[in-house]
Amino acid sequence: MKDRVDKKVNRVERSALSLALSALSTLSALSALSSCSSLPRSAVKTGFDFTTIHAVEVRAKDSIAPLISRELLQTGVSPLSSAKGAAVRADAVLKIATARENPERRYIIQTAKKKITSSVSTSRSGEETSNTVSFEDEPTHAPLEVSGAYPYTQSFLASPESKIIATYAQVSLAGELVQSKTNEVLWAGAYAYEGVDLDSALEGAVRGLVRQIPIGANR
Amino acid sequence: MKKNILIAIILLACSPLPAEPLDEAKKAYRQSQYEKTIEILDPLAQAEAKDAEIFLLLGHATAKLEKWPQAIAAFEKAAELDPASLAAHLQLGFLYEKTKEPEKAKAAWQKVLSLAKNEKTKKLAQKHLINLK
Repeated sequence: MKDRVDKKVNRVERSALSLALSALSTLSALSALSSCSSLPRSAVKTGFDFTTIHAVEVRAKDSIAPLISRELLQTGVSPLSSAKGAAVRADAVLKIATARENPERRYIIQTAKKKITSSVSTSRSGEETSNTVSFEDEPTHAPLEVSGAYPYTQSFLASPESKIIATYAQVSLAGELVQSKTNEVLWAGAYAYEGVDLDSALEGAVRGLVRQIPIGANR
Repeated sequence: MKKNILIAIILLACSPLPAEPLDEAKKAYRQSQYEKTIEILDPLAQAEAKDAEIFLLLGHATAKLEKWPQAIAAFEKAAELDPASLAAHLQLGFLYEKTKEPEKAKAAWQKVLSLAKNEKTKKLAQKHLINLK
């Protein structure tokens, strides 16, 4: 039973990975053609008339499909759930998969050294002199991003010289928009977003990714 | 008599000092004991109401327990005590996004953008500001 579940999980992971890789390879292939260089992590098929896209079939995991549909509705495009017959009615198919999920990343700053500022003030008469010394945290390093995957995270945290700046989750999505009739890839892109938890990161990632697609109000 | 006093002094010097509550709280946080972290920090927050670091750690611990309003209150207090705290504003940006308060989130990310000295952190803030438009 466990083997069956493992195999199923592996299959799901493999299919997500293959979609992510396919989207990324399409992305690099399309990048050369794209005139849209202001979008660093997405590319479109040049010359395609995106005004012809009115209905899009959504192919994604159950956990993100409603978020994608919501974003599509907000752009004025009709989302179609992946079901029998949807492919016939859809102008295009939008496939989105999670490329990477990182439930906990941390920014850590080390503040070992103290910056010592010394100022001496003397009154006009020269009789009174005061010396002010102030201590202020001086970052010895720029904020250092330590992901939960690092084996030495705990030793960093254990150091009294380090402070946690932020903890957050990160989700990376990859997607492609395929024309239903021709199977041509019209758009491919990837987007990573951070949130206080995975749900929040996922919501922002979907919003950021779907907004890159030049359909509906996004054009 | 003198000998006894000397022994007492030596014993006192050798005995481990009780750990500072804030250090204890940090230790509990590192060990993922977030309830315990809050238990230690709550009275400190009442007594040492001017130490931003207490509120930062309190915010992180309450956020780990998904107590979003409490976490926001702690980070807001930290930001009030130390307006230049990058940590407080950064975490507030994430939390306001979670609680669907985009205007407050934008203000927090703007603050991060103005305080950050690191390019990576600036890019993070810029990305969130664009996403929230």
